[in-house]
Amino acid sequence: MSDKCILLIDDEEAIREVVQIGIEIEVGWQVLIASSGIEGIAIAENQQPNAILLDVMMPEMDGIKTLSNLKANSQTQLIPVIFLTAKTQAADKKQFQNLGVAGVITKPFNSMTLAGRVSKMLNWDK
Amino acid sequence: MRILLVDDDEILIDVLQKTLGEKNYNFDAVFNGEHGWTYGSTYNYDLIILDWSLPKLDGISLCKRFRSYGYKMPIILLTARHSNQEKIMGLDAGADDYLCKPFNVEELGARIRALLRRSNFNPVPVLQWGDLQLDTCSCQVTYKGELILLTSKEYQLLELFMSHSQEVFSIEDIIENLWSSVEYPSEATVRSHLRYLRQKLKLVGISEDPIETLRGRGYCLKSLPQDHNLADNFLSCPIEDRQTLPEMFQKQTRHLAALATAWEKYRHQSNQQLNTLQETLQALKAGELTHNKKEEARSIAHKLAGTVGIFGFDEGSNLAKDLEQLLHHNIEDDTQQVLQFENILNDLQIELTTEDNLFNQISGQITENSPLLLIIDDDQQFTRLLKQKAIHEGMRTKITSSIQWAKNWLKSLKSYEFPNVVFLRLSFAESTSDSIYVEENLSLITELNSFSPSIPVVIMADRDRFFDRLLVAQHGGTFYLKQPVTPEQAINFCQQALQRSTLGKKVMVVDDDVELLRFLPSQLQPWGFKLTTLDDPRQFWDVLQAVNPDLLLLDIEMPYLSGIELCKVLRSHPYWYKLPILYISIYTDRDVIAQLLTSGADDFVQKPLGGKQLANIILHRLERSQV
Repeated sequence: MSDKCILLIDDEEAIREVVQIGIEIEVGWQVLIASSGIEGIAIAENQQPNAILLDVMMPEMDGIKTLSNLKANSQTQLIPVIFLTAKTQAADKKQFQNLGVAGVITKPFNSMTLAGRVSKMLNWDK
Repeated sequence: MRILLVDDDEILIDVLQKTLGEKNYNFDAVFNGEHGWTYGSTYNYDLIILDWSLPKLDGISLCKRFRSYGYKMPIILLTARHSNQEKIMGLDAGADDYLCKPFNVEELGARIRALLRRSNFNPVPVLQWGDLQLDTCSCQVTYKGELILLTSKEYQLLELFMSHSQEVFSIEDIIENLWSSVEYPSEATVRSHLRYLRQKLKLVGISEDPIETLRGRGYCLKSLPQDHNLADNFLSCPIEDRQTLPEMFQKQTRHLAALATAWEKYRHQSNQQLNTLQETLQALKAGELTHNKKEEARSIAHKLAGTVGIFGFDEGSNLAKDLEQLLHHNIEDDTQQVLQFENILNDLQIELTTEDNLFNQISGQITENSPLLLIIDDDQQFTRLLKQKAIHEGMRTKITSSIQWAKNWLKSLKSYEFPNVVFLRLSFAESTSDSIYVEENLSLITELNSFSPSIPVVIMADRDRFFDRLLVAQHGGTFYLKQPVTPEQAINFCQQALQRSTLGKKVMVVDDDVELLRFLPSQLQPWGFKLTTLDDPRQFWDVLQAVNPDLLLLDIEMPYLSGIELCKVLRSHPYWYKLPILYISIYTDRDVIAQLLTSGADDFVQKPLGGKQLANIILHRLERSQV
């Protein structure tokens, strides 16, 4: 699993840093960083990460819009996307899943177990 | 404490509600026996006060009905009937006490307290947590003799935790226990009472918060504090020492250090966000909050909730969520909500400046189930380092310099509270003229060895003579180390001694998660468990009989057969019904978990599993089953 590459799109610097710490220290995957949806889409096109962690609530292009752009782009449409969100209502989660995301991780999360949860959601542990 | 009062005398009810309400009890009052049954069988009461003569259903029949349905709450009969025959009849109907009208309210209060103490297994009227004391008679709370002024709800909260020291209470449980059936406080209200209580306890100088927040589960009374918490130890641990920790803990240490650095960077940003929220508050007070400013504040509160939470500020995250929630309403039109906003914002500022909250994610790994190491050593500097290492390795510690104290302490413990391993410094050279000293130490080793299960002892001696080694071995010492020994080495041998005591214990895990089954052996092997894993529950019966495990871990949701079904089969089997069973699952909902446990499992472990945490829970459960 150590050759995986993850793209994280989040406008919060602290979240970006903590996710990077968690993933790199715990499982050693490469973590690519983007602070906006537009930047994320460009990196996804060029670097073809194995998965994208996408914040839902971002200024300008939010997570839902970013996801729809990723899905509409032939170069990125097959990359699995996991939403990071502080929304905890079951209805929100269901709505997200209907959009075609591979999973939803609720903020705040434990950075020590984050990589394990991502693995499980994407069936990388099988 | 919640009391149901069933009496048709409205004046009496008024008097009782007023006088006993001052003693911090919550009352529901009903006027006839049928309503008494409806309330008593619907809500949880700590105690019921019943009149004998009641409309619709008399007190004696109601009392009998409660008992015949298995309700065990204490019942006091309060009646004008004075004859001995009637008293006998009342007590035989299932009442725990009988008081004749007219009565003295103070006496009724004393009888209520006595019955509540008995039902809560607290034989003494003063509840204690270290130097913190709660007197249930005078309703006073003191710390080191200093009176703490608490509101009624704060007092009730503290009493709830102190009188049920082993229980975890969710917000719903707290509401159920402390508010009457006609009151519906919001979760934020309960949390705010909790915060005020914590602040007041802190203000009088209680450095460690007595109330522990268990993420996703609720709140409970913390085990009495040790001298240092994990964060203190981590920060005070020299870097060169950290590098000698096993790989797993090195990773944890690196992770913590990186988080601490990140928080240093982020702290400034969080202060700026708090300042913006302060400006929002000022604008609110001045009636000048614009729509845009409100939206900006809501977005900031939302971000804060997510970001401070991942640094371990659980309470801070909840507070930020409360602020966000308030900003969803028309807060500018409601002075009460503005006041609430101000209070929560103040609490949030305090919360984020409390460094102890950082690393909550890690310190949670030291739990009451963690192995307990008793250190008997008079070298304070060495014991301090030993303790740091022990905590790093997920062990609790108890330190003493006196062998006599250790013996007395062991005598005062229940068998399941015994330490799991003992470290003992033994000075042969210094005691050549004092044979009693050596004999006392050796007799302690013998005593520890005679317990069932025996408690391993690691001895650190000041000389290396064969005769000394022989003596220690004859008395049952597990390891004999010759000084100098580093704290790492000492803890390493304590761990090995601990492993020996669990060596060969057979643990069987049934889970369709193949990755978890691959991960577990490396995590549990260091503890000496013999692990058997099975991913297909259809082979369960054959494997179980072949392995004959000492403990079983069952995933709940599996294809073909669920863990619950397997558990039920075992609980109805004449040989297997006593086998300790732990469920493992992703469920976090307390009600669901409680429901699951009714199927017969002994405990529940939530995924994702930490190896050390799981090992501790298994150890704890094995010890309980041996007891």
